[in-house]
Amino acid sequence: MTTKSHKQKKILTEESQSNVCNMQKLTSFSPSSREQRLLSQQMGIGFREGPKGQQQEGPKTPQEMINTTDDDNQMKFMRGVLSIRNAPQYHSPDQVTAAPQYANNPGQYLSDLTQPVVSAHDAKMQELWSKRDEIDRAGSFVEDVASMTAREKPKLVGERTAKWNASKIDREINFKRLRGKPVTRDKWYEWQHAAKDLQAFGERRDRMRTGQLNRNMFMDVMSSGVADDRNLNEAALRREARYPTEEPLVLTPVDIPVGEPQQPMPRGPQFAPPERTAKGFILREQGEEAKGIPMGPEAQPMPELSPEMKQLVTDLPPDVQRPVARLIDSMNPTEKKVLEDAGGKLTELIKNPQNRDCFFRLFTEKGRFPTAEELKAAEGRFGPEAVKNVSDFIKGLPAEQAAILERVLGNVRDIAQEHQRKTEGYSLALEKNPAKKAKILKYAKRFTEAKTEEDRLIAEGYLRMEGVDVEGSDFAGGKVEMLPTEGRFIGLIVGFIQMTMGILRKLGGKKTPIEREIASLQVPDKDPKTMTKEDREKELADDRKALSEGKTKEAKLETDIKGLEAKLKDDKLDEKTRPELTKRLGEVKKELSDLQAARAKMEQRIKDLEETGGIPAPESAESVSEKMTKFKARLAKYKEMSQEVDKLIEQQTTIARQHPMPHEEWDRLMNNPEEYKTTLAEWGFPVASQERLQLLTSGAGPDEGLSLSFEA
Amino acid sequence: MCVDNTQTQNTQGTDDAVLLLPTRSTAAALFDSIMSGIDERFTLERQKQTGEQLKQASPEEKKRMIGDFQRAMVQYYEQAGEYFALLQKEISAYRTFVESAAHDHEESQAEENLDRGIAV
Repeated sequence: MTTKSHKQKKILTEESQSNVCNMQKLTSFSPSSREQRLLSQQMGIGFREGPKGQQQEGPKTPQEMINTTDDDNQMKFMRGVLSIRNAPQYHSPDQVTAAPQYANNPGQYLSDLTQPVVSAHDAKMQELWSKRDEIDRAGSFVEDVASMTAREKPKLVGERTAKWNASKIDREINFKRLRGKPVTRDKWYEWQHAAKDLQAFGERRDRMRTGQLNRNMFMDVMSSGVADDRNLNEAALRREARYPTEEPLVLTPVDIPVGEPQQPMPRGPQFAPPERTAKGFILREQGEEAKGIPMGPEAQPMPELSPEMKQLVTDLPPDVQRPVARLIDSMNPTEKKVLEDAGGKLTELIKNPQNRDCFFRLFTEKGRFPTAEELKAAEGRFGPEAVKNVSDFIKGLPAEQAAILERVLGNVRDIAQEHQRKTEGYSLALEKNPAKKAKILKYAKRFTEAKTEEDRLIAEGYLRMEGVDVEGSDFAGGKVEMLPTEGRFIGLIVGFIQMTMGILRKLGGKKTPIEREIASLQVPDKDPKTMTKEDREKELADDRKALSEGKTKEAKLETDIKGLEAKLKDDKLDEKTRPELTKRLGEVKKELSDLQAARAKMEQRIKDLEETGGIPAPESAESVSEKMTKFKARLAKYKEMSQEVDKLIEQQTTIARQHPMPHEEWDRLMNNPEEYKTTLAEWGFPVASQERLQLLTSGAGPDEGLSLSFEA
Repeated sequence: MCVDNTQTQNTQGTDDAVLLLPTRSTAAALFDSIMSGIDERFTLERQKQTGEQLKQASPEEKKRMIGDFQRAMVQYYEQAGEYFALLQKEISAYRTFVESAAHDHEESQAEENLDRGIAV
């Protein structure tokens, strides 16, 4: 360090102060480690970060270097930096003033230093902008860009299909950025409006590119939360700045209505999910005109519920909580009472599948209770007996109750229609989502294990809604049958009614125990000899319990018979009661004899069970490894099959893609399975492959069940 | 979808920088705009004038002005470096956007086809 005179120091201080702004900017400069090393080696400037043992005295960091009043050191530092960064050769001010070429024209020094820098930067700028122009050119033709990026995305079509099926919400809000954001009802409508405006704008341009840009901007607006004047303008500015070659964007601010929606959902290809309709569904209310209720998951808020009600509803699967809660919420107390009580008769009626079909099919077709003529005309379809039962039921209802029940069922029909749209094409065998499958099985289990009629109603209702054939299934035996497609809608309505009734009755505090049926005394076919010890003991206990219950019932029936006989002996009985009592006596006697026969069988069974030891079957290590091998083989098979499915689906998609068609045409084709099959075959996707695909995805055939458990 | 998240997020953070960038300009304009923020005397426009001043200045002042100029150049270098880095970033973001736009276009086509072909 050189020492300086007082005067020099003063000048330098002034100089530093005059440059304080500039200096502040420079202080943010931090040389890279390579630059630090070079600086310390070539220029003799040291840094604290430098290698050990090479630290030098004096100012250490760039900050200190710049802050120092030592002119030499400052300039040394900057010259060092510039020389390392390939800047033009610098000289100290002394050298410059002393240089002969600048003696007469020192201004030349300025341009000598500036020009090479500017021309170097000019070249760099041109290079960067030409890169951008290149992208612009490529981007203006979809095909070009597509081929440019094709190799980057060999996505599995099968995987995409699974995703497609898995999340409905993703389809409803088809924007990546919106996923996972809390959506309020108001915001939903704001988006719709903004989307509509943007779409209208987009139609003026080349479809794909403008669509993308608009979506980009749409997202930009949406990320700020509100599509108001300011945000739109800002987004427009950003967009303009980013794509200066595009026409300037003129957007009108969206006038957002407060409260109920004014506009239906826009139905453009980018903004509306395909299965949504603009109409929503109609919720009927007494004395009011039919009122449109918006759709979309967040547009249907969960109604305010009482704590007990909440408890009951949360017990249901999440996808039906909302509709059921809304249904119950939409009912007034009278309606609730009617459904709770008169609904009991309906339950009786629909226990018989023929009655159920007759009643609900006719109701669904007409939207009201069928008239006597309509019922008569339907005799051929459902049989005279069912028609008679239904007409008896309708006639038996008091006028007021009938009107209320009709209205409630109308609501159920609408909600069920909505729900059907969401769950269309669903079946247990086709279901690849294990969670959903498990849910059905869980409710099947609840159905069999229900302690009260109400619990069973709820479980049964849910199963029906999901398209389970409750009559045809044996839940206790683990057999779950699905209804054919045309039967499902009735199942939905009945399911809703049952579920709602179950909840209402439970709310009313009813706990009707399930009547033990004689069937419980029925002897299972299983041979006791092949049973394990635990099974045998369990069954023995069950059978003994059932036997004692059967005996109690027998005793009750016997007292009933005695009572009836005593009554019949009475001569004062009127003509009307006597045949009824006789009939009842016959029924009870029949029941008793059935019960006695069943008891004899059960006693034999218990004897068998007691005598036979059963097989003690401890699980050996060998069998575990065998099971493991089987499981692995199954897994391999499953993988193979899923690959085949993917391949077939891809083939099908490719073929479909080669034959573009208008939507209506497609819809028509999809509704005619036969024609669809032949058309696909004509296009080159043979019927054999189609059938194979169907077989593989239906879960039938070699891959039955698709469950990969150890037990398999 | 086509939105490259980086872009949208960037605009929230470093709004000014992003907004300034995409106007296409020459290196001379860039030099002037940056230099005018550092020291107006050394912009290309005023260099001649400053040269005249330099001619008439006393040796002390001459030295000081040359020192100022050199410091200003160092700063210009810094800021121009930042500018080019941002421009580079912006262009690669633009590339990502165009590519993803094409990708999404294809994907939406594929999904449309899937929607028609597979929902049996």
